Amino acid sequence: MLRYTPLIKPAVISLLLLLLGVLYYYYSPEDNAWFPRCSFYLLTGWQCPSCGSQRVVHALLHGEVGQALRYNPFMLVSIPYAVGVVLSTTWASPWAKRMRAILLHRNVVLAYVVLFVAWWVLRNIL
Amino acid sequence: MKAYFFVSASGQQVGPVAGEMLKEKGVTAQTLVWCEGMANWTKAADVPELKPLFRATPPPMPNPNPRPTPPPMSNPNPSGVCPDNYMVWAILSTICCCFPAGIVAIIKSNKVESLWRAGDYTGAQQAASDAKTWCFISLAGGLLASFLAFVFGFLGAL
Repeated sequence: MLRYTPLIKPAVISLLLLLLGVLYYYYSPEDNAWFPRCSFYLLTGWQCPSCGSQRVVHALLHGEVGQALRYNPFMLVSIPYAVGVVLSTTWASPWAKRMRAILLHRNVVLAYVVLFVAWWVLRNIL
Repeated sequence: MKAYFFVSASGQQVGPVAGEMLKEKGVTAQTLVWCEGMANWTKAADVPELKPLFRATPPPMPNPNPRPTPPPMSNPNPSGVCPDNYMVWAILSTICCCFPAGIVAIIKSNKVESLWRAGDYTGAQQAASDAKTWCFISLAGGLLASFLAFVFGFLGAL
């Protein structure tokens, strides 16, 4: 029994990610009111660095890279990064361990934060 | 002390001798002694008044210079394991929740390991717990704000 348990968590989380992917493939966040809205945008009128991320996922899953870039180019960094962080920290294989060491290295994380903040400012003044 | 008679090594009765002087006269713990009031000749070591004279080991010396006790450790390291820095939650809450709390969580989270390596275990634990708190603020705040936004958006559409 103990030999299986380390697999349950990564399997469940990977399955959830897959289900999210299926959801965003079949439903467009633009046409369905029940997708979460960005509260930062609603409160301040400024876009947050992740505004457009749901539309980007929908577009990318349909192969519309140009459309995705128009919604939010930074998501081409954020989404792979977030998915990589989640998968590499839940799986225990040596490969996942190497990925984790890179993705969660302090300089990588800090670089991401700097880009995140810079994009936050830039997209609202451009 | 009372005056005692004792049996010398050669079997002679000697005395009376003041109790304090017995040792100098060659009385040992095994020497038979007697004084007024005692029923029989008794080994010196068994006479309550003489017992201290024949104690084998001296009583513990009062310690005039006690070894200084080490000051209480300021950095207890009870587990020996670097605390979890909640970096994954910090990153995810930053990306998903759109509020600066996630960035604070990342910065706190980043400090955990370097503080730990520097030997500041208390600081590392504090940073880890701060990171956790800020992740929670970020996630809870983001969810609450999204929920409110959803409700007000829904009401506004009516």
